[in-house]
Amino acid sequence: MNYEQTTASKLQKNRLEWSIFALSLALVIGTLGYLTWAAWTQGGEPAQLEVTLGQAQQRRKHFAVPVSVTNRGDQTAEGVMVEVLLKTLKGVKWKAPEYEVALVPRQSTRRGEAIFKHDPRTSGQVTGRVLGYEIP
Amino acid sequence: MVVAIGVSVGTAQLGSGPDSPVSDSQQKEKLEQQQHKQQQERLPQVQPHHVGQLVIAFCGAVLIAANVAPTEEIVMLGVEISHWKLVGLVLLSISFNAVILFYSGFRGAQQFVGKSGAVGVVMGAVITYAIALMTSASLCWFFGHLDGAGLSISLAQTVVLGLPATIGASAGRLLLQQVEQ
Repeated sequence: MNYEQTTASKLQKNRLEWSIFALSLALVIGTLGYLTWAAWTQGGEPAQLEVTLGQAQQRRKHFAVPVSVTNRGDQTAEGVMVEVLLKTLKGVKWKAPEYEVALVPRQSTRRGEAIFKHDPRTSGQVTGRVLGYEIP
Repeated sequence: MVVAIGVSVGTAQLGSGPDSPVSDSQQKEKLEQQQHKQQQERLPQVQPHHVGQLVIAFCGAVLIAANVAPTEEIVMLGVEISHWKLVGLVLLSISFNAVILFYSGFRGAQQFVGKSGAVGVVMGAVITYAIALMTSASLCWFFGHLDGAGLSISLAQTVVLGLPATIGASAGRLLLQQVEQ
């Protein structure tokens, strides 16, 4: 009886050990597999930056427009200069101060906000673009 | 806190070297250690509890990697390192595990690591590296390195931080248990 209990406990422990090993091996092989695949397929495509603007929100005395900068390329962009313009119905352009995003890594997104004195929801159309960036 | 842990771990592991000059108190300590060692040898070899070892490996990984995780260097290295170098880093980290756990002669290593032999070495190294990777990913997430980052960059940062985490999960784990004794 005692012998059977010991054997059963050893077997259970063995099973647990092997299950943990299997999970760990899957994680390590998955990581290595993905990195190898990425090394083969992802080349040196330069940074492809896209600026996406969100809905303007009122913040006390000013208005904030959420800005997302997405890099769909394979290289990192450093010191990305972003410009956001508000074109009013009368054709006047209000420019929010340019701001710099320190780092936009490959396949990643960085978020910020452009601040206006005038309400962009009623004043006109907001557009954003990247002025330039550094290659690290 | 980090200094306190460092002092206690360092004293436990490196406190008495065979070549260091020996004072009376150190000689007494040495004798006590020898007696302790003899007592340990008389005791039957106890197989380490697997889940407990995983938890201590996690603690060891946190102990070492938490110092590096909040720094900007992890982000910069993750962004700038190439995929092939990351593959090399993974293999290097796994080799480090095997060396530290099975071949470096750390005090108490045999007692805590369990099985040796080719299968045991591979199992130990892979399991410890998986824990180091998970710890590293958790720390990266905790310190906000993964916010808005794509899979490639997230994995790169995890693998970069995985190297110190690996050393923690293997060496730190042995050191922690040394302190516990």
